[in-house]
Amino acid sequence: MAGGSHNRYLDVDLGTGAVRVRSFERDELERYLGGRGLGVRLLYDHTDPGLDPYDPRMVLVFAVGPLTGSAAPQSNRFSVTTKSPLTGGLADSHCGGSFATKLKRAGYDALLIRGRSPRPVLLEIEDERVELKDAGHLWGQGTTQTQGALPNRFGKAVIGPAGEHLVRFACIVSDARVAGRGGVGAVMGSKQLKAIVVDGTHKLEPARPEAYKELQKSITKYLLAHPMTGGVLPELGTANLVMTTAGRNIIPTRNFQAGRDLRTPQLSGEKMRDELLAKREGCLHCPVRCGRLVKLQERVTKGPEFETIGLLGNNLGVFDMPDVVRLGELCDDLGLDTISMGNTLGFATELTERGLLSSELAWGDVAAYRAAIERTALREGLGDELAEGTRRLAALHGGADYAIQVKGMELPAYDPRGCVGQGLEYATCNRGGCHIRGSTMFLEATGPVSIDPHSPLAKPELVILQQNLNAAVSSLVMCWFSAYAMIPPPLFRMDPNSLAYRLLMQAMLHSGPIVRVVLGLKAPTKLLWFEKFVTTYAGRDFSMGDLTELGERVFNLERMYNLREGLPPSADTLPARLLQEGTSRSSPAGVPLAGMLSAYYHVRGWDAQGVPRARTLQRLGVRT
Amino acid sequence: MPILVPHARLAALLGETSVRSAAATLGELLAEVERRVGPQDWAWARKATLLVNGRAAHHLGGLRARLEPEDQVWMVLPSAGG
Ligand code: SF4
Repeated sequence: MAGGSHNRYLDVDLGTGAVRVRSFERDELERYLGGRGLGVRLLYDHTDPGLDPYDPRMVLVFAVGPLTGSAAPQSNRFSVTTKSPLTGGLADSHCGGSFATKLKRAGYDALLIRGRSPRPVLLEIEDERVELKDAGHLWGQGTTQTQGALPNRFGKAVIGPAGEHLVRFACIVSDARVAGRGGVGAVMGSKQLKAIVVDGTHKLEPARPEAYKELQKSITKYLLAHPMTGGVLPELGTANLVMTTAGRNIIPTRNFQAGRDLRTPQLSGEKMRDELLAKREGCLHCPVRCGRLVKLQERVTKGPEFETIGLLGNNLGVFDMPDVVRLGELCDDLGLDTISMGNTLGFATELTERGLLSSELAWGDVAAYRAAIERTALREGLGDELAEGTRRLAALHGGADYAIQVKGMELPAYDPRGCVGQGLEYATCNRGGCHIRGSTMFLEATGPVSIDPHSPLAKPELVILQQNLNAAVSSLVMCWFSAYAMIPPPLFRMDPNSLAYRLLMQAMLHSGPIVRVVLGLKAPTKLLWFEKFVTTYAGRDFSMGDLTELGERVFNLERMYNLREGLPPSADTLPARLLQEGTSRSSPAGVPLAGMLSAYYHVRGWDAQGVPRARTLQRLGVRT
Repeated sequence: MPILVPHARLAALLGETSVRSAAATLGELLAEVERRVGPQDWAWARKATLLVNGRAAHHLGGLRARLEPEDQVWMVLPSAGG
């Protein structure tokens, strides 16, 4: 069969055992393509407003994209969409691992799960054979043991004890990769679904084989030659960010009380490479291979990503890399999001320091943190409160001003006081405090261009540009790291201290009006590899304009979902600490959010209250 | 005394991960480092973003930026990830 989709999805009711193979009858594939877009479309259409995330009628949608199963670099990933137990709004989380390719091979573009099983179950899918099997023997097991107990030929997606105990930031694990954010694992746990395994025989062929093959080769070559995707990412993994964020004074330190520590370099990617690296690894067909395997005395295990280092390491005053490796490994095995866990532990430690919470937690006390992580996954003692996340912890003990979350989801490892556009992105992100739905910090603070990170100029426009592109790329379910390769290599060769560089940055800082024009264009050309792959592999003539419009459509539907679920625009904000306090003599102020936010609403075609205007929805064809 | 934290390749050349200095300005501090590594290596090593307390040095007067005892100067290279 040619083309990038099967035009059908599997609908499984865990309560009744009913299984239906359904085709997309409305605009789902046509307008939303796959992954994130398809996920929110199905969530919107298949749930009544106001459902609790743990209501049996809530759906959990696994979706792949038009390129999944192909050899297009960075395309073998899946998304998980549901309502977030942390935010009460949209949760969508993405993951590498073998599950994506196998789900596509089984002949489905998505898997929609509803209902609640009366007992722990395992969902086994092999083409049209769909079975619910008893998972009593797996319940209570960690994600490593659970995956180990399942046959190797399957793609797997499993939860750990945290998901079973409805920890609000529980994740779903596939191989060594994690759909970490928003509590998708808790929703899976609420359905008593321990694991999904999938395999199949429905192979899709490229629509234009020669052109696709040529493109696949040339883009792989380009990515490998690029200073980011062929340079720092493979060499140092995402931990390459440690030194840059520390230099910028934006790596979380003691619950965002500071932006670095002089011991931060002990957690650098260079240090991991020189002292611990055993092997690089990556997602299927990805030439970048940004994952790490590290040696820990007698064994080899997964090396921590930057976020894990930032939140479970630097933020908690843990500066020994092997300790951070072990804390990250523990979270993965228990099925906990390392970002929310580390952030929540940081908040609880500050509450303890201030005498607002009685606990054993203290900066740098690895044993205390380890015990707290274990108790969180099982909801024992203080762990039962930590399992609720920072916002609910603040409601119990105070400290809301320094509970570092947006819409209830904990912030990742970039302090926005040193990248204010990223602050706007956090505030407006549909899934709450997230960096990977636009990554504006790359244009301000961490990448080869640095558009004054302390200035609000041009930031609303750049955030929208990034968010739209991200929503499109994640509807193809391609890895967002591919976007880093969009910056032309010559920019990396510029001396950041040169006059030419500074003039260029000044021009970019004043590019807001131009970006507005670009946002309004629907370019008919094919500029990037994303639209070229959709055209050659999926056989759908796709332009740059189609891509950006897709992203804008997805973003607006997500916003409409959040509004429908009662998440008000007033939630587009940051905690008081980030708005009011500076971090150093050179950065004495917080994020100037208010001005950026009103410009952002305006440019998005939303009203002054942050509600998408009817004409905006109509232009994009967003059905509500 | 102000501290300079060099990027990893420069640190390897210097044999240390941070340099303390009594320099009164950024320019003086960098000149000290240049003397230690020599002009040839300095030519590539200096092509990094210079940050004084997290703020790009050119916003603070460039090489003339005055340094206080608590100040930290970091040299960073482009990075990416999530
Ligand atoms: S860049 Fe890294 S995370 Fe992205 S697809 Fe490749 S290996 Fe996976």
